[in-house]
Amino acid sequence: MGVTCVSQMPVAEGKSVQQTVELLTRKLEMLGAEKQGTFCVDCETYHTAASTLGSQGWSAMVRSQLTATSTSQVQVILLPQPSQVAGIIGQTGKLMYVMHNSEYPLSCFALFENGPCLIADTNFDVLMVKLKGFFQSAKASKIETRGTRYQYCDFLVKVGTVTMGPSARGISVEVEYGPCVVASDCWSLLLEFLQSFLGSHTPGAPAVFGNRHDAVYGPADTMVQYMELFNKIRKQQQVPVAGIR
Amino acid sequence: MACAEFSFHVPSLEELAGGICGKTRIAEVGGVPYLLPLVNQKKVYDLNKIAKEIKLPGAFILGAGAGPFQTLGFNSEFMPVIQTESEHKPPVNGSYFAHVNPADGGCLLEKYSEKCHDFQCALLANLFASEGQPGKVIEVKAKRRTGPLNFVTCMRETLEKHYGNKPIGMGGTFIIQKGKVKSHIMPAEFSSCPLNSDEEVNKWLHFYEMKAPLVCLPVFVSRDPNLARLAQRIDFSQGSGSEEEEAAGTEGDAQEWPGAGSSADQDDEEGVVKFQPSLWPWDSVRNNLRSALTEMCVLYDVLSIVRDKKFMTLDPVSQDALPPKQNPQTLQLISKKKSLAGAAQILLKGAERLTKSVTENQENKLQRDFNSELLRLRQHWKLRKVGDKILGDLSYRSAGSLFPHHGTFEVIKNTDLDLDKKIPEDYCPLDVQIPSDLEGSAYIKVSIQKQAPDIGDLGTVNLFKRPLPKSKPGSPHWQTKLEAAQNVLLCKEIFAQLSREAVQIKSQVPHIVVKNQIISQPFPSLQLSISLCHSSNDKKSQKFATEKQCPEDHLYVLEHNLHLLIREFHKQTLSSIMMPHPASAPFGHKRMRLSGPQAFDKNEINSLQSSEGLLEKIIKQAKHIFLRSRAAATIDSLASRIEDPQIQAHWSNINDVYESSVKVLITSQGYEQICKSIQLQLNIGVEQIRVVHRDGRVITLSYQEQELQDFLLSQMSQHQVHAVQQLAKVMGWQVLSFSNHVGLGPIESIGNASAITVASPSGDYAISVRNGPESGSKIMVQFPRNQCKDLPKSDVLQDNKWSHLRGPFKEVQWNKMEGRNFVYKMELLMSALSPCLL
Repeated sequence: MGVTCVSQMPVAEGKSVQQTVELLTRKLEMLGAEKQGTFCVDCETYHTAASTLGSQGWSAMVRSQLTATSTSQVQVILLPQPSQVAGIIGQTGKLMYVMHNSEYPLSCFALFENGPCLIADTNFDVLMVKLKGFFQSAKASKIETRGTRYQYCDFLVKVGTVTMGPSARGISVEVEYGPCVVASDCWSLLLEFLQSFLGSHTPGAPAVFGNRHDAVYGPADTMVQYMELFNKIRKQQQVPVAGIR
Repeated sequence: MACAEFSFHVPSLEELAGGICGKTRIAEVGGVPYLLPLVNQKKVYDLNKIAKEIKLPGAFILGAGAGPFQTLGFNSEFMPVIQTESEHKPPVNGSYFAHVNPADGGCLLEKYSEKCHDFQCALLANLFASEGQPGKVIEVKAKRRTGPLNFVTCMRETLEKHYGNKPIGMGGTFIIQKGKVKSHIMPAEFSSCPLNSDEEVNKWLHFYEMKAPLVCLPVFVSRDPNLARLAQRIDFSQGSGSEEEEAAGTEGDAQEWPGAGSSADQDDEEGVVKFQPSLWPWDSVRNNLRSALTEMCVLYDVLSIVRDKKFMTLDPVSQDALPPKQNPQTLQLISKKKSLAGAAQILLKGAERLTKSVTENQENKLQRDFNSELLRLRQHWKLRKVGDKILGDLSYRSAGSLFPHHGTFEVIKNTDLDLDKKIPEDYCPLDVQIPSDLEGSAYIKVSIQKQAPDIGDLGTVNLFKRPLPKSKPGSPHWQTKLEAAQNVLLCKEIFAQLSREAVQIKSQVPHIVVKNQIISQPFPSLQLSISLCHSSNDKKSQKFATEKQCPEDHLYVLEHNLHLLIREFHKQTLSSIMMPHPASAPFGHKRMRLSGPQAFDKNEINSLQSSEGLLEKIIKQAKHIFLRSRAAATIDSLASRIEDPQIQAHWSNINDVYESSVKVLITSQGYEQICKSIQLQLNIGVEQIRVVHRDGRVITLSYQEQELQDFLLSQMSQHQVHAVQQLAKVMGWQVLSFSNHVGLGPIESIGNASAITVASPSGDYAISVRNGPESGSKIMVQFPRNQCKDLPKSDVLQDNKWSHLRGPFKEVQWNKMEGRNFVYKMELLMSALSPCLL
C-alpha cells in the first residue's frame, strides 16, 4: 500500500465518456502497463435524520441504540477507535458517506466532509439499516466508479467511469505509488508519471497531501479523495454532458 | 458396701421348696446412688432378665430390694422370692412388699402377686440366686446381741476375717424368733429435695418396731471385691485419685460375684476366726501416705533450717566461672550459640526426616504395584474407564489433529508372572496393549536423488529414526511402548496428509503416490521421494533395518521441519475451531478479523488466506536444501580448482527454511587489503539465487548450477583486472584505460573479457592487461622507442625527441614470470619497469 492520487479526467472534446476512457487505457497500454483485473469504488449518502433532540442527547440516544442493537457487531465496529464513532455521532446536520473500495474488500468506510473517517467491517452496512432512525439514505444518491486496474512497475493505475444511476458522469484516474508511504516524499514522482499519460490534465496535489506533512498515508486518505471527487462530479450534475451525446 | 435388708413375713412352705443350693450366685443390682440423694426413675429391672444375665435362667431368687414403683405406682420395700422363668417351668412370683399404709401410716405387708403379675424390681436389689436344689447349708444360731453391730454385720466381719482378701458372699433366710426389731420402711413418695446426709435420710424414712417372729432374707458379701483393686488405683505419684474411686464405686448395674458358695439358715456363731491384717486393702495407700509425710517433714526441716540461717546458708553457685566484665558479650555469644544449636537441631531433624522419606520413596519405587503404576500412567496419558476396561488415548486429537485413527490403547494388568521364579528387574505389573497397526517403529524417509550421478544422493533423510527405542533409565516399559506407538501414529498422519495433498495439488509434473511412497520432481531430473517406513518389532525386519542403515547424511533440518509443520497444522485447526471470536467476525485468524477495521488491501488479505499444504512446504524446503547444497558444491569445486584468485564463502548460520545467504569474497592471496573489489552476497531461495553485487546490482540466477559457475568465473576474471587497477593506485601508476567488458578480441564463451592499461609514473612504460574468463590473461608491455632495438627506423620520426615515445607492445610470457600469483607477478613487473628514483 502506497501513496495514492485521485483525480478527475475531463471528457475529451467531442467524445463520449466511454471513448475517453478507451483513449486513456490505450495510452497506458502503450506505456507498457499490464491489465490486472477491475476495481470498483462506491459511495452512498446518508442524511442525518431531523430530530427534535439536541445534539448531546441525540448522541447519547445513538450510543444506547448502538449497544442495544447487537453487542457482537458493535464490538467489531468499535475496534478502530471509539472516539471516532463518537465523532461521527456528534456531526449533526451533515451528510455522511458510506463507501466501499474493492481494493479493501473487507472494509467499509464512513466519512463526513472535513470530518472524521471511520474504517469498519463490512458489517457496518447492517448496522446502518438498524440506525435508520438517525441516518436516512438519500434517494438515488448512489454513485460509483468502475474500471480496470493497470500495473506499471511500482505504479498502480485505475481508470474508472463514474456513474450515478444509469448515466456516466465522468472519469476518475487513480494512481498509486507502492513503495512509498509518505505523500510529500513522492508527490513529484507521481506528478511526473501523471503527466506522462494525462498530459495537460494533470491535477494539482490533492488536498489530503497537504494536511499532514510527513505523515503516513493511509487508506482513509484515498477514500477522502474519492469522496471529494464524487462530490465534485455531483455538483457538475447540473452542467449537462449533453454535448457528448 | 453390701448391705442387707430385713424382711418380715411368715414364709410359706412353697417358697423354700427344694432348697437354696446349686450354682449359687449373688447379684447386686443397682445401688443406693440411684435412690439417694435423688431418685433415678430410669433404673428399673426385670428379674427374669437378671437371671439370664447371671447365666442362671430358671434360678430361684431370694433377696431384698426396692419395690417396683413403675408397676405399683408407689415406692416400697421389696422381698423377692421368685422362681424365674426357664424352658421347663413357668415363672412363679412369691415376693412380698412392705409399704406405708396411706390410711393410718402403719406398716403394711402385701403379697406382690396379688397386686401385679410381672417380675420387676427397681433401683436396687441384693439377690441370692440358686437352682433351688436341696443341699448343704450353714446354720447360724444367735442368742443375744452383745455389741453395737447388728447380726448381719457380725456375720460379714466374721467371714471377712476368715477369708481375708477373698470376697465371700452369703445369702438365705433367718428367723427372729423372740424380741423386737426396729426397722425402716421407705415412704410411698420419693423425696423431692436431695437427701445429702444420713440425718435427712433418717427423717425421710419411716421407722417401725416389729415383733417376732420375723423372717429375714439377708444377702451380703464379706468384702467388696472391687475394694482392693480400687485402693491400688489410687495413684500417689499424680495427685488426687479419690474421685476416681468414688466413680468406680457406683459402676455396674448388675454385678455378679461368683463363688458365693453357701447359704446360711439360722443361729449361732461357729466359724474359726483368723485375723489377717496384712491383707488389709488400704495397706499400700497407707504406706504411700506415710512416705509422703516423711518427705514433707524432711522438706519442712530443710526449709526451716535455711530460713533461720543459723546453721546453714545457701549461696548461688556460679557454674560458669567467667569474669563479670565479659558478661554481656559472652552472654550474647552463649545465647547465639544456643539458638544456633537449636536451629541446627531442627535442621538436622528435618534432614533426617527427609532422608527417611527419600529412602522410603526409593523403596516404594522398587516395589511397583499396579495402582501406583496406573497413577504414573495417568500423569502422562489420557485415560478413561469403559466398562471394566481402562482405555487410553494416544492420538494427537486434543492437540488439533484431524487424523481419523482412534488411537486408543488398553491398560491391562500384567499377571503372567511365575511367583516361584525370581521377579525380573524390568517387571512391571502394568502393561499396555496398543492397536496392532501402531506396533513397531516407524519413520518417514525423505530422499533427494538426482538421476545423473554427478552429485549423487544428496542424502537419505530419516525422520524420527532412532537407533532402536532404548528405554531411558527409570522410565517404565509402557512409556517407551506408548511413545513408539504415538510416533507411529504421527508418522502415519504425516504421510496420510502428504499423500492426500499429493493427489489434490496440480503441478506441472504430477506427484506420484505409490504404496507408501510419494515421488515428486521439484527440478528436472531431480527426484524427491517421501516414504513411510514402518517396521514391526520382528527380528527379521530389525536385521533388515540395521543392514540398510548405511552411513546416511542426516538432514535433521527436514526431519525437524516436517515435525514442526504438522504441529503447526494441528495448531491451526485447533485455533480456527476452538478459539472464541466475535459472532460477526469471519472464522480464522485474529488478523483476519482485524482486516476489515484496519483496511487491509487485497495483497495483505491474500497473504493471510494463503494456506500452503504440508507437501508444498516440504517440497519447497527440499528445493531450497537442494539448491543450497548445490551452490555450496559449486563454490567449493571452483575454490579447489582455481587457486588464483581465491574464493572465500561465508555461510550464515541462521537461515530461514526457504532462504539462506552466503557471502562470497574473491581475493588474491597476500593482497586482501588492497584488492577488495568483488564481494558478492548470494541469497539462495527456493527456485533461484539472487546475487547482490557490492555496488548494488542484483542478478538473478536460476537453479542451474552452470549459471552460478559461469557467473563466478567471469567475476574472478574481472577481479584480476580490478586488482591491477588497485595495485596501480598503490604503486603510483596511471590508469590509462579500463574496461570491464571489452568488445574487441576473441569472443569469450562465458561473459566478457576485461582489460586495463596502466602507465608507469614516468610515463615511459605501459602495461596492458586483458583477462578473460576462458582465454585467461594476456599481458603486454610497451617500451619507450629508444629501448626497442629491433624497431625499424621510421622516416617520419626522425627527431631524437620522438625516441621517448612508447613503442609497440610486447607480450610478456606470463607463465614464466616469477611470483606465486597474478597480482604478485604484476607487482614485480611494475616495480621492474618503474626505476628507482633515488
